[in-house]
Amino acid sequence: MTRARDVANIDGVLTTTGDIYYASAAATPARLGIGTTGQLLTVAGGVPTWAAAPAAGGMTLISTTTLTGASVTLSSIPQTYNSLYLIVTGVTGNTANSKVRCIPNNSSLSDYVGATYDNTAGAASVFGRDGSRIDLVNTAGSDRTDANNAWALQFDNYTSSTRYKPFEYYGFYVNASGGISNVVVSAAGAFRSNTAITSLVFDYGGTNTFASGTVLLYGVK
Amino acid sequence: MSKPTIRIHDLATNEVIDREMTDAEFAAYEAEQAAQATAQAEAEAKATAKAALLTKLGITAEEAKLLLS
Repeated sequence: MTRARDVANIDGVLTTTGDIYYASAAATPARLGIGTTGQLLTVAGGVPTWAAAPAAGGMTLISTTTLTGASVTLSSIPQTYNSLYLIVTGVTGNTANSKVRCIPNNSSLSDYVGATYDNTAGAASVFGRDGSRIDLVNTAGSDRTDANNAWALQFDNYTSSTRYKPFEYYGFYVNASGGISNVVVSAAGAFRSNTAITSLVFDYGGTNTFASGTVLLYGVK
Repeated sequence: MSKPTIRIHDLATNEVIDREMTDAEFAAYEAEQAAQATAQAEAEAKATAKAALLTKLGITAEEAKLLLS
């Protein structure tokens, strides 16, 4: 061995490919054998050690549901994520133009408060809300025959049994009558309930029925 | 008359059930229809009264807004 190698491998501590040389105590050379694929070097008890990489974040598609009938309920929502993220698209209705609404836990009135902004007033406007429904349509109704609509909706802290759940959404739809026909809408607020969200009900204004539409539900870590 | 159907998607089992509303669900559905019809009629009556008043005053809605600003 060369002198450089002898110095780097004092007392023959390094014996295997991937070994790491460290001090297990003051002036005490030690060997840390190589970990396994994917492990990360971390510290435990004041010395280096290999540990499993933390679980990857990101979104997991939980369900794909077609909207039909007077209402659609997503029940038994898994309680293993940090947030829920939904994409609602292609909503049309039978018989009448109406609103598209989302109701956490099919809850009673006054469980929801928020502010909605849209472009129908010609400028950003704020509408206080107080009811159990999250209206994705901020005007009297969306054009029931026009499937060119889309919303993204998110609930955070949804598993909490002690705190409210903030939410936000944004989207686009074609207005049913008058004024600006292409409506861009967004909202933020909170679901004022200390019960975990275990279900989400979608309906078409509560008085009409869906002809089409799709809801994608993702869990976010 | 048949009642409207509703869909329940159980995410624990991925089972999708389509069924008619129960009597209680249908009663709530009809109550909401009645409430919305009342609210719409009130809104339309208010709009009609507003238009009639503007006509009586001989001003436009924009001019009325200007007066109140």
